[in-house]
Amino acid sequence: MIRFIFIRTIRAILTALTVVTTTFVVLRVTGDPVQSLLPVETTPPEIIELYRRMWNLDQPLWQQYVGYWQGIFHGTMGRSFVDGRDVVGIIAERIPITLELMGWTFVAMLAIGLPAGIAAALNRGSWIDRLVMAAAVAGHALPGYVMGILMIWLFAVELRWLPSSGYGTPQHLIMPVITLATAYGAVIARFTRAAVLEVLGQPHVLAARSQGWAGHTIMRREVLPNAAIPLVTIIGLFLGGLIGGSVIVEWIFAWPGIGRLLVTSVAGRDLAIVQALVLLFSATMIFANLMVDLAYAFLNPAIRVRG
Amino acid sequence: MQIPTLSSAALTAADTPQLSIEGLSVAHRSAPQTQQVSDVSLILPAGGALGIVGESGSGKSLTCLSIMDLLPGALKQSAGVVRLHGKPLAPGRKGIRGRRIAMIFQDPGATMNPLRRIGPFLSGLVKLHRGLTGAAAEAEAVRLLDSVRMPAARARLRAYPHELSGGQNQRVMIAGALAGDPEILLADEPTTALDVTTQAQILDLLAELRAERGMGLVLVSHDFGVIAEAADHVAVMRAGRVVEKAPADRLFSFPQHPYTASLLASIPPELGRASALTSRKNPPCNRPSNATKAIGLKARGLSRLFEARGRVRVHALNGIDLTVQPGEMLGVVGESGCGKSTFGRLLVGLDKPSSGDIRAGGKPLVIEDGEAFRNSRRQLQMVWQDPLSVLNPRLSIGHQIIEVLQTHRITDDTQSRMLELLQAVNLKAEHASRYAHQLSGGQRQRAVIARALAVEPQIVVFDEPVSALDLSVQAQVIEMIADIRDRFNLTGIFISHDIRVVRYVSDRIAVMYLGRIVEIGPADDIYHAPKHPYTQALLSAVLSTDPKRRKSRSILRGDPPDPAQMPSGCPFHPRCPRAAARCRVETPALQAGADSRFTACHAVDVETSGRHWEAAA
Ligand SMILES: Nc1ncnc2c1ncn2[C@@H]1O[C@H](COP(=O)(O)OP(=O)(O)OP(=O)(O)O)[C@@H](O)[C@H]1O
Ligand code: SF4
Ligand SMILES: [Mg+2]
Repeated sequence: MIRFIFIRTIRAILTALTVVTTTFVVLRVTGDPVQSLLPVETTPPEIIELYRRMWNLDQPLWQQYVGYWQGIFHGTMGRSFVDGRDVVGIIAERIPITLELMGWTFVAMLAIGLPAGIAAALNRGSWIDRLVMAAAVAGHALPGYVMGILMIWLFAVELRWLPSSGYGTPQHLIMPVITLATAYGAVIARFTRAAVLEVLGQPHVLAARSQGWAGHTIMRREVLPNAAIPLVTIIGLFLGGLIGGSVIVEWIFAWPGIGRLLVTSVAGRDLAIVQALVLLFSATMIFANLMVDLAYAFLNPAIRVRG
Repeated sequence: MQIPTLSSAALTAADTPQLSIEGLSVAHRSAPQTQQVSDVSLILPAGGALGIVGESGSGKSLTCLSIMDLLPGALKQSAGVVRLHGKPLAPGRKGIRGRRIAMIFQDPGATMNPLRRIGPFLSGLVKLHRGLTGAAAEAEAVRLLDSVRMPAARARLRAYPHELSGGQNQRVMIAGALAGDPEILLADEPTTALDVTTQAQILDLLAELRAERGMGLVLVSHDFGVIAEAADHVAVMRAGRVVEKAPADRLFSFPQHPYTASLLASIPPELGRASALTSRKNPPCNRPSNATKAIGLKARGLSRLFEARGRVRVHALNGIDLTVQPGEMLGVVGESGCGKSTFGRLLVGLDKPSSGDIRAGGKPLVIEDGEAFRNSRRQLQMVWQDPLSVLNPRLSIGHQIIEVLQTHRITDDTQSRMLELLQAVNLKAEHASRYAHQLSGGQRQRAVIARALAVEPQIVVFDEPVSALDLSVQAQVIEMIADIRDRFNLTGIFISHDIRVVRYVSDRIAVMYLGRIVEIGPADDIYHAPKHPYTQALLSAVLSTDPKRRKSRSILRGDPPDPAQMPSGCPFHPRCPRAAARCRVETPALQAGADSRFTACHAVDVETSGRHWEAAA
């Protein structure tokens, strides 16, 4: 087990190193940010030079790279190219806002997906199963922006029940959370159904029935714990997808979180912020993956016990 | 131990059978006219042992599951009634499952919840059926493990199923089945997933438990040997129907139904080697290219060390010296994990030895990429247990053979050569256009063999080629292999865990144990007069339907060995009935004996001549 944790952690660190370097390279080779920020024709060359020096763009690439690493370790990721504020500060104030959205979405998607998937598996082939599967396909196929805009039209414009966009009250949360949770809950439902069906077909469930255990005991003791192992993996990997999904949803509902920050920064070529956000997203994904691996090992005695 | 309350009722009504099935039919829910089991009636006399035997798909397991009302969701019992002491059992079998009738299954590893330790598994059942909790339940769990002869019972309580061997897991399942003190035990292929030696141990355990507890047994198996060993009444099933029911002695001595008779006749020992020899009347198959002479194989000091599993070193092969003569068929037997497959893979160059070398036809076997390797791969072919995994699902059989003929530029007339090959393996021309999934198991294996023969190999390694096939099909495929080996002038290695099968096709047999050859010699000599204690044990684990051969059995103690934990001295000494002090420190070498036999055993070294094992029996 210790050996397993060690190997996985090393792997996560290596992945992180690669990502950090790739981010640096990709963002530098796509063009000089100063040129795209300032109107080149009308700006005097001295001004352009001044900006380049301010953001260290005048240094050779390797020096920039070293400086970039130093920045990561000191928690200083430079200043916004647009308004000159500290990047870390800008991002830090947005994080809780996005976390609030993601946290509720996570809860909602499990609350929808798990019971629906289990119910479908237990009633395989019945109308319940067909209903859940049809809903899951629809929920997954419907793009987030379509669903979002439809909801805004219905609940905000026509019925005037909910605020169409913004942030602050619990009412503001409802539509973004539903939009995200529908898509991911649908996938969770399908995976849950498949995982439960898989375990239901295993001989140890038949054996438990032959031993005289009641159905709910078999569910609690044989089926759910064994189905949880693949599910934990999938759900962990979803954390990454959730971040991607939140970009769209935050934009539609004007939710002032990280996703929206990313969109505005990319549009404004605010290199410093984009770079920091990419690193943040990657770090989250790598961390989620590591947690999934560890959870998997912990849940699985065949890995946990061996060592 | 308490006497089960109901057995007294059984004694008073001696003529009511303990368990009876009347007119049982099982059908698909969606298509009621397609019956998987039709009109089956069976009786288990009180305390008796009823064997249900048949080939795969004959409905024997469904019959057994119906007793517990545990049919898979897509099927339902469409007619019939199951009675316990004359009383019909209610759907759901409440109060019956695990308490009055218990059940064990085929693959003991898979029938246990991988997330539960043995202790909670057993004490949970004790609590469910007897209401004991806490320390009392745990004590009972230990007692149950003792009663299934599990060594170090208390220490096992904390083990997970994956930490136990297959045989040990089956013991735990049996212990669990005994928790409710049932009067009947249903066993569905309880030993099929186990090694022959472990199978013998489990069957002995079942017999002892029956005697101790007066428990009735319903045993389902495809293996007549197992049924003959454990049942006193036998029902033979075919395509969902019972074709013959009789007391065991009578069924095995005087089978009435032709199907029973043909199944019994296809058991390898009864076939004998003679019929294989007489059947070789087909003319040698002419080779289109320059006919090649058979070549021999020579392995020297062959070892293979795996270091994959964590830091554990697995000595899969330990210094094997062996010569296979041109045109000879060498059989290789041994328990699971003894290194048979590793040996086979090395011989065809699919894997590299850690040390030692192999020569094929006098030339060293090169395992490198490029021309030399392709050529040597052409000379050497391997046939595996599972034909589906090696056949291309998207190409017809004929197409696949032609493709091989073209790649290796064997002949220009690929079409007629392909038909010849199909004929050589007893497939018809019409099979050429079929896809793998459209063939039966036996036909698929024939197709694989035809494709292997297409490159005109000189050496073919067969790794368990018939183990996945039904008994009657096994016999045909073995016969076919014996036949092509002559016609194609092949040198062959035939690997199997079943010494009866090996003996039938092989000239010589090598017996492997923990990566070494412990005995090698002419097939009939090894089969009839084994000298090494391990070979003797392997042979005595062979179950026979012939009551005369079933008397003297020396059952091997302990589990099949783990090559990651190599014992000192003679690798067999922890299980050997004749182990002496010397065996623990000194590893015996293969010593030449009379009539080209070699044995690695200190006890055999000192004997002047081998005891005639079968004559003594
Ligand atoms: N690639 C591998 N990595 C690690 N260990 C291996 C590998 N291949 C085989 N082994 C180990 O080597 C030993 C011999 O394996 P092998 O497959 O040759 O056994 P076998 O006699 O063919 O058994 P069976 O009857 O089950 O097919 C086993 O303990 C196996 O676990
Ligand atoms: S050498 Fe000893 S332990 Fe090994 S087989 Fe012979 S008698 Fe048994
Ligand atoms: Mg093998």
